[in-house]
Amino acid sequence: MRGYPMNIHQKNAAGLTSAGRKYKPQYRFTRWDAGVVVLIVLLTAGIAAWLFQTTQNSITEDSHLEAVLLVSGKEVWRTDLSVLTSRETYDVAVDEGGLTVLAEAGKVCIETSQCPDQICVHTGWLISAGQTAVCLPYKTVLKVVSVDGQGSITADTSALYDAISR
Amino acid sequence: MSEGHMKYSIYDMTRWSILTALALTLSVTESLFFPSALFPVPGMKLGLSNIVTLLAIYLFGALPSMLIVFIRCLITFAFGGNLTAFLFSLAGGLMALFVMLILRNINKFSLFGVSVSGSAAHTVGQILMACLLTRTWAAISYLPVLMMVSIITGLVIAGLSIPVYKAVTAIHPGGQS
Repeated sequence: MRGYPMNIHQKNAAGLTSAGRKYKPQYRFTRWDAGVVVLIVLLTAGIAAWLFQTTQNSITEDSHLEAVLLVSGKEVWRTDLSVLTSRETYDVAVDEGGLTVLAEAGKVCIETSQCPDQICVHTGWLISAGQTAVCLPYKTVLKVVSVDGQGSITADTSALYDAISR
Repeated sequence: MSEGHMKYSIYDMTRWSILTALALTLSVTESLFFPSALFPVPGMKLGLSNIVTLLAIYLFGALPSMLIVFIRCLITFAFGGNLTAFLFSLAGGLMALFVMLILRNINKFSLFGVSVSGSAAHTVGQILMACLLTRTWAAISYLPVLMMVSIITGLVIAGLSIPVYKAVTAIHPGGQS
């Protein structure tokens, strides 16, 4: 025990008096702080570049784009965006309302929705692998994945939305 | 009247409890002003309760800070019921605490540096937990955006903490409380 008086009137209340406090922090932005910020920015840029690289690499010769629609984590609709020649719509109805997905050649979007936020509609067109449009009130995720010849997904980054909206 | 040989007095523990309550209040208030649905990316929040964490590591030390973080996550879960959110904030909070405690001892870093590295570690912890929960590495794609935001919020949190820290330590300059 190092000098913590047990009576009510603490003379050296741990941490609150200069005698009880062990650390005196700096208040000004130092050079090392700038170094930390720069370091984090560099790391972030590196990771972003690496992510971009892997997404680009996943677009192989025989890979095509597919749109997948999941409601509450279960896949309800899938369409191949590269073979579409005309408009294709798909309606989803949940208890509180519904939304309509519109797919055209090479792109897909949530056309209309009855949710209060309208974030899903405002997301607009999804045109490349990894892009998603999420309607959280209706627990719906529309995502674009890049599928190669064997049918395995090579670019799919929306797993986090699934975890959070579940 | 013999008190036990406790390392921390009731006085100190009451102070920690008040800070814990403050942290809870801040997180509730923050969610009122900035509902999570407003942000483009899930998990983006201001993190005002990290003001309390930052204060605690300088005012009180390692163990009290850990208790404060753990108990505030626990109570938020007890009242909110969202297991995913609990795991996320626990992972982020403990990671941030760990990094901040290490950096605190190096005097070259000001509160700004400690806070920025804390919020960056918080982000990393949350994303790692997300990867763990979804069993894929897909969550890493959120790292760049969230990191940039966390740098800014880290600086803001430090800017908010410094006046509070100065005020609290001015009240108890070294005499009787």
